[in-house]
Amino acid sequence: MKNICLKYILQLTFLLGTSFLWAQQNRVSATTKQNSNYDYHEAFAPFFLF
Amino acid sequence: MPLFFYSKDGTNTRSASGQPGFEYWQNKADYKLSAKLNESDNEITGTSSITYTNNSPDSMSFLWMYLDQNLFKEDSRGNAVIPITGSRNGAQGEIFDGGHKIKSVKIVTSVKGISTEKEAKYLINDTRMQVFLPQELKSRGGVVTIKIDFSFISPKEGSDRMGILGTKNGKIFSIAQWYPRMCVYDDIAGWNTNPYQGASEFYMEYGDFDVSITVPANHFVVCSGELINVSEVYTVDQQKRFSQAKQSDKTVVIRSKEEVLTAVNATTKTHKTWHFKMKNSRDVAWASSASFILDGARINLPSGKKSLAISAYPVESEGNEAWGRSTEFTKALIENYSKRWFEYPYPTAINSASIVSGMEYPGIVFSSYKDKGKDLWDTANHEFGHIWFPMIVGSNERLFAWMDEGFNTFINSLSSDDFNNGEYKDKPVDMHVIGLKYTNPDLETVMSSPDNMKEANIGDLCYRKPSVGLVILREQVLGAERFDLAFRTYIDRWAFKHPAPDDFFRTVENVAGEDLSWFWRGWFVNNWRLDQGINSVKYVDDNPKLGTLITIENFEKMVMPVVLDIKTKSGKISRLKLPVEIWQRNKDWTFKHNSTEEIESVVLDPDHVFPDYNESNNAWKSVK
Repeated sequence: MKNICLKYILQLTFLLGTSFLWAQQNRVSATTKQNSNYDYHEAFAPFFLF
Repeated sequence: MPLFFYSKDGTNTRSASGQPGFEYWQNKADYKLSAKLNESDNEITGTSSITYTNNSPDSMSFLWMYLDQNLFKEDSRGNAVIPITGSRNGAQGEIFDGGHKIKSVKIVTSVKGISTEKEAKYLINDTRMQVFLPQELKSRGGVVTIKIDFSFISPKEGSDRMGILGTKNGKIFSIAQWYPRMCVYDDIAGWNTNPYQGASEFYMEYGDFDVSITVPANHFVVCSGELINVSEVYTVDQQKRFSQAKQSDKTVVIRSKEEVLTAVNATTKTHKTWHFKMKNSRDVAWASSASFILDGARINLPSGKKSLAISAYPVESEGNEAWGRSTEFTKALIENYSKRWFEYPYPTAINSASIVSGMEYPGIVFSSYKDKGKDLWDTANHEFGHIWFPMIVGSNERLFAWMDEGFNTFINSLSSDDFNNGEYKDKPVDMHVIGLKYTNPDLETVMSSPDNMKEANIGDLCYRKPSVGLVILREQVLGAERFDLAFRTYIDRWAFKHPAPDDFFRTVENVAGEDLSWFWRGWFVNNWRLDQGINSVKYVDDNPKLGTLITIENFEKMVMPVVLDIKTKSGKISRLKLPVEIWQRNKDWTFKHNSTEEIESVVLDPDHVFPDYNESNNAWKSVK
C-alpha cells in the first residue's frame, strides 16, 4: 500500500537536516559529560538467563 | 523480555538456520471464481468454488475464511475504531449497504464423476466466516471443495485499497478483497483470524486461480494473471496490437484514446465474459471500465522467459508526463527486481489507474489516476515492489507490516537509483535526522502490528524505519555483497511460503555469519535510541608526538559500530572505524590514535550514516 505520508516525511527530513547541519557548523567546542543509559548486557546477552 | 534474542529454538517446520524446516508444510487454496458486475448498482455478484488442501499434521472440523467486505458494514469492528477525521480506512463516511452477502455455502463432493452439493453450516463474525465441515478434513493431504454464492456493493473508496472512480468516459471499478478468501492455517498460530479493521493488510494462502468476469460489453477488464480468451474480448485490430506489444520493448497502444471516445456514446445492454488464469498466487484483483486506454510492452526476464507489462488508464491520465510512461516504468521495474532479487513469476504485470492512491495485488497494482512524473514512478515502484513482498515472499502482513512495507521500501530505493541514469533517484538521507525522528520515544516498535499503532505512525514504523534499518545493515554493518546474498537467500528460501520474523533474522545471521541480535534488538524489537559521544581527547604523557587517547561513550541503549574523523593541526584527516564489539563489555572506550602532532578536531559519524539522534556530543574541537 502506498505510504501517503512519504512526501511530508521527505520534506521534514530535509528541513531538519538543514537545521542540524547549520547547528553543527556553528558549534565550536567540546562536550558535557552525560549519564549513560547503556547496558551492554541488555544489548548483547547471548544466552537466556533465568 | 527474555535476554536471549530468540524465544525458542528451531523446530522441524522452521530451522534454526532460518530456512523452512524438514517438515515445513503449508496448505493450499485453489479458486474457481466467477463474478458479474452490475455497473449501475456498483454490485458484484459471484460464485467462489474453493478447493482447499490440508497439508498440516492436524485434522480439521471447521475452516475459517475472510469476508473482507464486511469492514464496510456499519457495525463492523473496523468502522468502530476509525477516528472521525484523519484516517484513510473504511469507506470515508459513505452511507451504503456494504458488506458481503452470503447466499449459500455448500460442500461439494464428487463420487465417480457425479458431483453433489450439500448446504454447510456457517457462522459469520465481523470479517470472518467459520465453515463447519460435515466430516473431518484429514491431515496431510485431505481435500475439500466449498462453493459459496455471494454478492456485495462496492464502496466508492474502500479503505484506499479498492473502489470506484468516476471519469468522463465511465466508471473505473478497482475490485479487490472481493471473494471469500481462506484464512491461513500455519504452524505458528493455527488459524490466523485477526479481523480486517482497515490498517493491517492481509495474510493469504497460495493456490491457482481460474477467474471469469462478466461485465458490460463496452468494458475492458484487466486482472491478475493471463487473459485466456483474447479473441472473444478484443477486436481484431486490438488482438494484433496485443500481439505486437508482447514482442515490443517499446510501448504499443492496444486500445487507443480514439477508440475510447468512439465507444463512449455506444449504449450496450449486452455483456462479455473475460477469462483469466493465475498460478501460484495468494490473491487476484481486477479492474473494469469502458474508459480504459490500454497499452503494453514486453518484459524480458533473466531466464529468457517473457512477461507483459500492461497499463490501463482513462483519457484524464494520458500523456507522456503522466500515464503514457506507466508501461515503460512497469517494464523497467519488473526487469530490475527480477535481476536483483528473484525472477518475476507471473505472465502479466498490470498498472491500473484508480481512485486508490496505491495498492498492490499479485500481478496487478492500482495507482492514482492523478499521478504524473516522479509521483507515478514512486507509486509504481512501490506497488510493483510488493510483488516481491508479500506476493512472492508470503509473510503475515496483518501482524508484521514491516516485512512487506519495509522490505519493499528498501528495494524501492535501489531500483530508483538504477532507473534511467537516476532520473528519479532520491536524495541521500541524513541518518541523524532519521534517528531523531524514528527513535522518538513516543513511537511504538517496528514489531507492532499496524492495528496496534497510531495510524499517523504507520508510515514511519512500517515503511521508513525498517527500510532504513536494512540500509544501515547493508551499507554500514555487513556491506552490500554480504547483505545482498543474505537478502536474496531469504527470498529464495521463503518464496511462495510463509516466513515469520525469526526466519528472516536467522537467515540473515546464518548467511552473513554474524550474530546480529544487538541490531535486531535496537532497531526492530525495541524502540531504542543511539547516542554516541566523545568524552575526552588527551595526548599520551601530554606529548602530541606520542599519540592521542580518545574516549568515546555510548549513552543510550542502541549500539552501532563507530566511525570517526580525526583532523590534525596540519590538516591531515584520518578516518577510523571501530567494530560494534567495543560496546560488548564497555559503556565507554578509550583507544589510542597514533598521531604525531596536535589534534585540531574529532568528529563522530562525520557522514551521518548512523541514526545518532544527539549531535551535541559528536564533535570535539581544540580550544587552542
